[in-house]
Amino acid sequence: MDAAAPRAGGPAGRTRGRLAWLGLVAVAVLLPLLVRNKFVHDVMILTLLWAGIAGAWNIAGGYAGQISLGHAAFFGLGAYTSSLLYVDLGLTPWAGMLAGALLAAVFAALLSAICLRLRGPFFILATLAFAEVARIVALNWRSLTRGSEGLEIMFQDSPAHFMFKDKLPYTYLALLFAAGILALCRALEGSRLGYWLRATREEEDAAEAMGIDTFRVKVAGMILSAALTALGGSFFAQYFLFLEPGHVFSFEISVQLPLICVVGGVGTALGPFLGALLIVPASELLRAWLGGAASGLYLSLYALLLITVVLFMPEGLVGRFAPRRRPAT
Amino acid sequence: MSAAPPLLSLAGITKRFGALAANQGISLAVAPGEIVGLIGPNGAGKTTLFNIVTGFLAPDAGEIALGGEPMRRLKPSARARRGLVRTFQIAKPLAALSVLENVVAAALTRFPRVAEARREAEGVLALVGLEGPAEALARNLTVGQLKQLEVARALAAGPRVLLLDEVMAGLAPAEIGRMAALLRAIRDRGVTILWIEHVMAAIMRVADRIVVLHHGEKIAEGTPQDVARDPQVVQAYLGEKYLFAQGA
Repeated sequence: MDAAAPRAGGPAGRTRGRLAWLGLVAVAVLLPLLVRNKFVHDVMILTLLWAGIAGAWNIAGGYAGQISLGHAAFFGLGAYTSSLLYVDLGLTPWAGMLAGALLAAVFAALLSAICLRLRGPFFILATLAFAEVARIVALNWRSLTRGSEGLEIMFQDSPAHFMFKDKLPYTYLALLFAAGILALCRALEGSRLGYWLRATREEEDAAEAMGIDTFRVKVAGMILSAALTALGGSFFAQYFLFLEPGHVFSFEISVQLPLICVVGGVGTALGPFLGALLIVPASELLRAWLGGAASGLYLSLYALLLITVVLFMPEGLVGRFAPRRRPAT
Repeated sequence: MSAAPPLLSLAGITKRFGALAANQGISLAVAPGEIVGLIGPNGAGKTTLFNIVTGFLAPDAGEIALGGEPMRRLKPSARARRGLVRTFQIAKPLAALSVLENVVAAALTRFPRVAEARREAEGVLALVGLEGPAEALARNLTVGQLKQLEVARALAAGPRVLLLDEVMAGLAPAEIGRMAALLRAIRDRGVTILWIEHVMAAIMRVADRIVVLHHGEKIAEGTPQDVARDPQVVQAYLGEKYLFAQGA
């Protein structure tokens, strides 16, 4: 999975790979123009948004092996920061989302400093508790967040304030967000931090013994992951224009991110994208078709789909379709 | 002992696990360029001493200095950055990474640019004789290759003192010969070696000096010949058979 390592197939395979990428980009760019259907655009936006955010989760959870079940905290932090700065202070969400990312980075550093010495399940439980605390604080700090009444962003057709009448700009922004995170993860894989994140995940003691400050590496991974997740939260807020602690800080969101990564392939750049490509449209379509038919039916089918993937592709979609390395000789 | 000031010095290292005294007042000086062998029966406290020297365990008492600099407050990665690099008795490969990536990760601690670290890693793999499976995943290596990888990774981290923990255990005789030649080659590059080993034939031949631990204490220290004849060492560890084999 390393950009620098030669892949099986040689130069010919590489050219074919480039062509496949070009084709993919062309489809992604043209599809929103060709299919002018609101539901399709909605599914595309959500797919790309979750792909990007799952990609952000993957930096800590996948590359560094710091599995977090609390990323809803960073997501909600991003959503509320940009929205409150806009609603209360009139700051454009374009700037507000950077503030949200910064705030999420600070919280990630704090969380790391406290929790990263915990290993395995204890770390996971700590992140879970962190998101719950964030949700309860947001719910009860009514003077700031409006609590369970929710926070509404008044719509105005104003690109300068990250709001658009049409779904098309959202689609392309979501594409930009997802593609940006994909490119970042590819770059990360070939970078020093990428090597060290993976080394820390594989054998923390071995990494320390070779001179890698594993604590700093894990903190760096968590900060990057949290900041990008917060950007996704801000995007989400600008798309739905309504926030509520019970939703943006929810356990469902914390679970959704690792779920997408597991289905697509944990710790690979492409994994979260393939995962989102399967999971998000499937869940949206099932909900649209069966959501009203029988309560719980769509969720049952959704669960069946997930079980099937995990059962037959334990390494995720990437493990199924990516070229394998040759074994030792 | 040579006249040069020691590169690595341990003074009064003591560690207890409950009632068990794993290390009792161990003092040791390793001169630059030396190969010092550390032997003793299982449970003598050899690996505990390594864990203390490299910072994975805190001693109850005692001081460690590398080139005169105290190591006590530094964590393992900081000690490694200063040149105190170890291998693990039970190999700890970065299993999901390729052999080359394993070594690149270590080389990146000295060469911040990936391309340079990669060049360094390729050089180290060639030295160690592991260039063949460079692209294989570390989890697919044989025991012998895993030992080579441990050494390669440690070398890529740029050791001044290399601490080897049983790099020959589980190797075939031909592999042991190659590893012995490799250790000499590493020393010839100016790396000092402190080496735990149970493969007596090899350590007695390669090491300049042998230190013997027993029940957490240093019971003997000297040239391989002297140590092999020391009655206390023979009784505690080597056994009568070894003495006869040497005499024959």
